[in-house]
Formats: sequence, structure tokens, C-alpha cells
Amino acid sequence: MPDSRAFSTIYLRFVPPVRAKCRRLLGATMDAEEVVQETFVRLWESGPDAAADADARTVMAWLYRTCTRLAIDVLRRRRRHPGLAGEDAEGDDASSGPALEDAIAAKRLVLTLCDRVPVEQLEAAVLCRVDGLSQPEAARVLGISERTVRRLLERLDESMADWRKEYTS
Amino acid sequence: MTRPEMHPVSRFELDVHWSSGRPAEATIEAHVLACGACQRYLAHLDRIAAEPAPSWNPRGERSAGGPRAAPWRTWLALSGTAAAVAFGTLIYLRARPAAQWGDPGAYVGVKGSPAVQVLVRTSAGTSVWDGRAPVHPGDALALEVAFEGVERVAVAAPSPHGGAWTRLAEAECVRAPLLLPFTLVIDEQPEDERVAIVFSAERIDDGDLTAAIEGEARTRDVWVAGFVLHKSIVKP
Repeated sequence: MPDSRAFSTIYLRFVPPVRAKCRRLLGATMDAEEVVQETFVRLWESGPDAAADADARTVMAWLYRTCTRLAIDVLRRRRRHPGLAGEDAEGDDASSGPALEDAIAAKRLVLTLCDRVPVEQLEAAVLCRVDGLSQPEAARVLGISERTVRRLLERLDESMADWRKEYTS
Repeated sequence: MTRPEMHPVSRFELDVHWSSGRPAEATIEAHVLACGACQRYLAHLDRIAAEPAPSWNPRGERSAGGPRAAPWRTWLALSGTAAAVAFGTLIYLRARPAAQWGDPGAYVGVKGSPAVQVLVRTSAGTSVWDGRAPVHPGDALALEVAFEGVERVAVAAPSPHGGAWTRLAEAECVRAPLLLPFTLVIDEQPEDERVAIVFSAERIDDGDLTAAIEGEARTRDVWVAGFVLHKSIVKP
């Protein structure tokens, strides 16, 4: 059986940034907390010894990828069941001015399109536009090429433009 | 959509840096020291780290082929009175006196002192620990506390490397009884499980926590209760 105590150390070390990330998108809600927990359950199930041996960047990339996907699932569920919508996401402390406005706009984009576009585009949007990763960083987290990240964002922006046309027509 | 202006250091890099303990020699630390936005973000992570966190529970309740259960919901939901009742009659074992650490059996404690109840969850169900029965690998333990006049409670276990005690969880004592947001899953290591519950008037740092546990503090400001759970690898 894997060493749960050693994994507890990993858990305590990485929970705060994962929690911060989930709250950026989902707010300080129970949904965000459940995504955090589910992320670590999956890390545990995937083999906690590997996490213990890996460097922090590798572990964080894995956690980012997993919790991003899970958070998007929550957003889609919220769209399907508006009665379950959580609180509006709060901005975190580090953002202010234009950066905060961009993050809020990015969240709205993701919320608007979460049930209309493929999850890969949403992942790229969350990482690059909400979390502020560079495209090379997002590519490493997602395990794809930078060119693919760029294309995903372009397609997302096209979908947004189409949605605006529909909405205003 | 307007592309956001890229900050030279992303949150991902800050997250990696923070979770690595903010090594002073890292290039990024030099940037952080000069950047208010990055300092605010790292302070944000520090605040989150100080929040009570549900303890790690690796025993997921996955049902093969079925929808995945959310194991942590069980523990997170169990903070209300109704859920506490679900664990059965609220019979309290008084915390062991420090001098009796390791001795089996319940005892009569002093009226008004904090009390701890250990709940053991096995494949057969959940029961109140009687203070004697061994626990087995895979058993999950929860702690319910009752208290008067204390503000905070922390749960700690011996560090695997010896020396200090490791703080596993903590909570504010907002109401009693309080089911702590903490689960201890018994592993297959042969040594017995030792757990300390530290009640305090205010949050104490890790050094003081260890000192209180090792000193078996029993004062108005800090009160330590400890358990030794003998482990059996023989399935019940």
C-alpha cells in the first residue's frame, strides 16, 4: 500500500496553490473544494510514489491539468443546472487593474462558452487567460505543442465572435 | 478578446516556487522581492495554507463501473449536528490524562476539560472506539471533540523522521461537539498510531505545538490529549 503519510506531506505542500487555482475559476465554494480533493484522490490513485519522486514543476503541471479539467466539468454542470450555480468567482489578491479585468473577462468567456466548445479550448483558455500562463507553459501543462495551444485559443475566440453575433442579432 | 498583458512571472511559476519552499537562491525569489503583485500572491497562498484543511483521506469509495463517489464529501459534510448523530450515540471517552498515555481504558476526567471521541470506520461500519480495540490497515478514524473555553484545536502525529510533531489538521472551536475536518487512515506500517489533539486559546506555531505535546501540557491556555492506537495486521 502506498505510504499515506508521505503523500500527506505532498498533499499539504501542494493544496494551497491548487486551492487558489480552483477558487479563481469556481469561487470559494464547496465545488472548488471538491475539485481540490478529487484532484488529489486522482494523484493518489495514479501512484503517489511517482509524485514523491518527481520535481515540484512536474507535480504542479499534473495538478494544474487535472484540476482544470475537473473545474470545467463543474462549470458545465452549473450551466446545465443553473440552480446549482455557485458564487461568482472572487479575484485573488495578486490581480489588480487591467490584469484583474482581463481575468474577469476570461472567466466570463469560459462560462459563456463552456457548453458550446470542446473542452480542450476551454482548458487552454483557463490556463492562459484566467491563470495567466504563457502559451509555452500551457503547452507543457497540457502536454501539447505551443502551436496547438495557439490554435485552440484562436478557435475559442472565433467561437466567441460567433456567439456575440448570435446574441446581438 | 484583449490579450492580457503578461506578467514576467506566471502564477504557475509562483505556485511551483511557493510549494518548493521559496528557496532564496532561486532567480524568481529576486523578482518576488521587488514585485508587489507577486508578494501579494504568495501571501495569498500563505493565508490559504493557514486555513483548516480537510485531512488527506486516500480511501476513496470507488464503486466499480458506477458513478464515482466523492469520498471527501462524507467527512466534509460531517460538520453538522445531524451528521454527528449519524455516528451514533454521543458517548464521550474523556481524553487520556497525559500520565496515562498508552494505557488502555477510559477514565473519568475533570468536569469542563476538553474531551475527544475517536470514531472508527471499517468495512463493517462506524463505531466509537472503546480505547482498547486495535485498529487495522485501511481503517479510517475521525475525531469529535467537546470543549469549553478554548478557541482552537489541532491534530498532530509524530514526524516520520523523528523530532517534531507534524500538524495534520486544525480547526476553530466554533461549536461543540465538533467533528474535526480530519481523517486518519491506518497504513500497513507496523508501528502503532500515535495521535495528539491540542486545544489552545489561540493558534500556536509548530515549535510550540511540539513542545506542548512533548511536555504533555495541561494548562488553561494549552491542553493536550493523546492516543496510542495499537495496530493489528490480522483482519478482524
